[in-house]
Amino acid sequence: MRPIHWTIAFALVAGTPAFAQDAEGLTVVFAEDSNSDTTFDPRVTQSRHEEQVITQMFDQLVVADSTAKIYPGLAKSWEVSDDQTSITFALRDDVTFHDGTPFNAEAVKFTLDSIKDPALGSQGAVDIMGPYASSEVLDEFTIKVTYERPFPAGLGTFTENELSPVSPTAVKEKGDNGFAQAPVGTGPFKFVSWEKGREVVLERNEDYNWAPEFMDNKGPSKVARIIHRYVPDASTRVAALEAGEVQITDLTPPLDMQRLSNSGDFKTVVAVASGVPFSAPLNTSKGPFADTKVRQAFMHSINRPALADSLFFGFADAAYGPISSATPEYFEGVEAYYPYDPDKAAALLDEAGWTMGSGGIREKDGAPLSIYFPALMEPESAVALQAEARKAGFDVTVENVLKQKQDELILNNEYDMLVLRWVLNDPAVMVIPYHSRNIPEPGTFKFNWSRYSNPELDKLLTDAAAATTPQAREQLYADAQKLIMEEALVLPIHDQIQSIAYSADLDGIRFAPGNWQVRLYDVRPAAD
Amino acid sequence: MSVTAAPAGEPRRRSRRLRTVRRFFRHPGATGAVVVLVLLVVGAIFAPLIAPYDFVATDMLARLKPPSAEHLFGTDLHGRDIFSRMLFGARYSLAVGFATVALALVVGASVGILIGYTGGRVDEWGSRFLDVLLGFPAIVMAILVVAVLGVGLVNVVIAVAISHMPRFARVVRGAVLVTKEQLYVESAQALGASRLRIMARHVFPNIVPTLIVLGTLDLGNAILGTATLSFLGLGAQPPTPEWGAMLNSGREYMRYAPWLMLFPGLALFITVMAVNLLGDRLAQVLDPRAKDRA
Amino acid sequence: MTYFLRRLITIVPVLFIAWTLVFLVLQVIPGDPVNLMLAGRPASEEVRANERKRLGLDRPVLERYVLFLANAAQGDLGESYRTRQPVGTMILEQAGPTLRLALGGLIVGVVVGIVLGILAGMRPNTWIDTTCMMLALAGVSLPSFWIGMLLIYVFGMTLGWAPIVGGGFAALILPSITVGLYIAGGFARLVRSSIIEALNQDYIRTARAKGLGPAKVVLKHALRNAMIPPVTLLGVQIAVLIGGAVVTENVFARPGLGTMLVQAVLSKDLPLVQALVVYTTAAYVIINVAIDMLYGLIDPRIAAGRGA
Repeated sequence: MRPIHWTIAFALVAGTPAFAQDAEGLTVVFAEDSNSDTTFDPRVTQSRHEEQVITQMFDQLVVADSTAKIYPGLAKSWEVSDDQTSITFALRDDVTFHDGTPFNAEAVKFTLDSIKDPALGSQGAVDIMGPYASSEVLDEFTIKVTYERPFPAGLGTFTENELSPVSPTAVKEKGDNGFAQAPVGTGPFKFVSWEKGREVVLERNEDYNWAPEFMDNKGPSKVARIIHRYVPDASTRVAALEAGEVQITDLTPPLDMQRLSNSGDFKTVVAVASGVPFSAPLNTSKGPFADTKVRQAFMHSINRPALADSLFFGFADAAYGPISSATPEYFEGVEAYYPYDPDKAAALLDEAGWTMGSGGIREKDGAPLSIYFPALMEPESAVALQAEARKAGFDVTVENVLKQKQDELILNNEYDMLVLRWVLNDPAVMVIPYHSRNIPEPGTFKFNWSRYSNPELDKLLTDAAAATTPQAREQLYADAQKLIMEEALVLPIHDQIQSIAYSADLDGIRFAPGNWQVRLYDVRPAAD
Repeated sequence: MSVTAAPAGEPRRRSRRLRTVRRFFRHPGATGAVVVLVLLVVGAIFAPLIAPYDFVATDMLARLKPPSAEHLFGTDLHGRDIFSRMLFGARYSLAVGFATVALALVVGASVGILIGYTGGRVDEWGSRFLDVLLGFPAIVMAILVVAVLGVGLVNVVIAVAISHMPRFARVVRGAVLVTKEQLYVESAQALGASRLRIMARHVFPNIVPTLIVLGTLDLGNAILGTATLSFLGLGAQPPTPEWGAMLNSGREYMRYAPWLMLFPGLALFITVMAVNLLGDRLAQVLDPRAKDRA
Repeated sequence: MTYFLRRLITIVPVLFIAWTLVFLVLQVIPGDPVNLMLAGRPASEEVRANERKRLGLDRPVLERYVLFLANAAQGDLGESYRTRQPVGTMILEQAGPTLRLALGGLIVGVVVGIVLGILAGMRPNTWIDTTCMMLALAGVSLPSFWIGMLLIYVFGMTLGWAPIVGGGFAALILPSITVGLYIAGGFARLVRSSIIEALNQDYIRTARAKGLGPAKVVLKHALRNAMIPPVTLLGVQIAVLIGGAVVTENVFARPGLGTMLVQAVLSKDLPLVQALVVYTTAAYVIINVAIDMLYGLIDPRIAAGRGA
């Protein structure tokens, strides 16, 4: 065993902390819970992990702060046409890409047109762009974007990372695939290197002078260098943070958040992500959950606040509706639906004809109340749900499936419930899991996993997205949320939280809209 | 085994068997291994009687409790008693290990006999095929199979069995080639017996001792292989208290509740060690050459 | 040299079988590669159809198979479905961490294995022998994911001695031990039996009779000859090393070929899986040929007789 001791002694000498603030400035190591990033081309990506890197390197025409208020970004001002079919942007004239080429209307046109080109293979931007028709360069710094039909959400889409302008020169030089590996934007940080699955290195853009006004910092960032390190295992991320090998960890486990913030050496910040909370769509098309009463009984049988508390130790709250409390147009009325009530659950199940059988499992016509639950994420939540539902007489079979198996089950309608979550800062996210056109069919993967089809709900969702007054929009979205809850289409389980822990030596951690990605531009040494 | 009940007229064979048993136990490790395995089997069989708690019952008030008189090995995130879960888990680890080896043996022996006995092109390509499989890491092949079949304990058994099969097949093929040359097969052939009959009657019985030793030597690896897949989240499903799966779910809370990973891992280690000791000893006593081939 | 060439040519049918097998298995795995690639993101049907066409998935299976074989024969293994990078480049990028881990594991395994093997072999059937062999058996009985977790808990979390992330030499220590212990177990046993056998050879007995101490005899004479069977074992261990990398990379959250292979299988990234199989199979064959040649260096007597 002697060689082992020797090598560990060596480790002591070799291991030096990466955190350093020398003459060149601050180096920040960000540990991220993924290692499968494949592209940093904003036009192509649809991954929240890739966006964490992209958001440091790219700017958008307009910028939303963490409350979704829109500010000028690369565009100084804008004008939406009365019929909502076009937007004219007046661009800044003092911006350059990292490769030194100027940012102008041509660059914006190139970006948008290339997204539309199938050869690029855009996975996110092309859908976000909606009914984009064309762009017209009015002069060097003015551009008019036209849609095929009225698109009230148009301006908001330009806050998304996916529509960030890219350097046309760099794309032409490197090709689309080359650009995805070494992107060139206008953002506060420049791409330096990328070792797949291990780390991405970014360095400060010294010319940066066009930060959105809500940022504390102006000019180049105080951070000289970002090392974006992939550490998919949560406890490893935390250990690395404590060892000083990284300064910021994302998706930090609750127990660690508690301990780290108590220690005084670290600060923590938690945000509730916008979009669909961690929830379980119930399959309304077949099996026990085809009966509304059984779905309602199931909802009443789960003590969601206790469940959220036991899994997240107070860091995440129970979720109550189809969209999270952090999402615009969240309707608070959903919180009144389906409190934990075992008696009510029992009564509803009795009404529905499911009587308590031997062994504590309810039965109807000799068949047990069996629920097949393929769970792709959060196995511990599935275990807790299984145990809770069993008390009410549900026999829940949990299977921790792989993605491919889940997809097959979805396409072939072979499940009773699943788990779903979605980060998107727009209540229109409800179209994805609740509009009847999104019911999966064999060969066509879609996300209406409740398989619920109701023209009334479809109309509410469509009208809400196209609503032209804030009042109409609010009312329509509230009605949609009410309908979804009355029909018990989904068991909202808990808020999705982004839990960031970081060194107490730092200040200025800021969430991007949607409360998932972290913008590092404003980070600076803490003022003691 | 009752000595008096042994049929008369076989005193010589009986004494040889006794001597073998005595030789087996001469090694102190072997005795320990047998004791450990007996305890495990007894624990697994009588788990419902021994276990102090229901292994699926959750208790939020008692979660993540360290080992104490109340909870011998502590409790998990859902307040379930680790000791009770591990007792029931012993059933899975042992049964799954045996099932895997049995399946690998049957499939491997069949393939080995088939290609070895048929010979010619079949043997040539079959052997290459086995070479390909052997050059492929067992765990990766098992993951491929699970990807096809889906996750679950039964599929894990099939997956690990398939990944262990080529080794058995190759050894059996070799043994068949040797046996084939021997006179009595040739004479059986001359008498016009069918190939299947020859394989079943003459070839197979000759390689049984080798198979037993190989199987025992492989049991430890089979238990480890299936536990590894469960650890990777591809095997046992909740609330099944399989040890590998328990380790997987304890991983995130390692710092706050090290007992979640300590005890199931220790149990796995001790079991595999005992099985390996047993296999070694069996190999030395029964078939000293088999060990080198494994 | 002709022997070497002849051995190399045997790679061709092996690769053919391996490719066909992998191609077939990946067709049978459920799930649509495009959907798996999108990983549950809300892409429209238009996006999906476009991707399917880009990847050539709209063509019949047989056509894709023939096309793949034709391209592979020309050395073009294609682009990954998921990353759109040439798979060769991707593998080269990830080979580094895995090779370092494999090498680290091999060093730990060989050193620990030789030490245990020699100690046991020099004094067979004593308590030293029994202890060493029990330790060796423990090495092959330890669940590698468990020992990895224990090492992280003790040295990473509790004592804070070993770095946890990062790609430096120090971060390699714990993973190397994890991989190495299993190899050490098997290696120690072979070294032991080789040593015992070598010590019984006539010329060793002569050397001992001449008054050389046992340690000197082992180091000067026996070890050289005793190394042949263990070196063969190392050739077989390449599969074990890659398999070990899958688990170890998972436990230590390291990048590498193991992680890459599992991800590629689970996302049905056919070109990447096929390329990985090509490289591992080729490595397996080449390493075994190389080991054959190593015999010649260790023991010239064999080289003369080999060649058939």
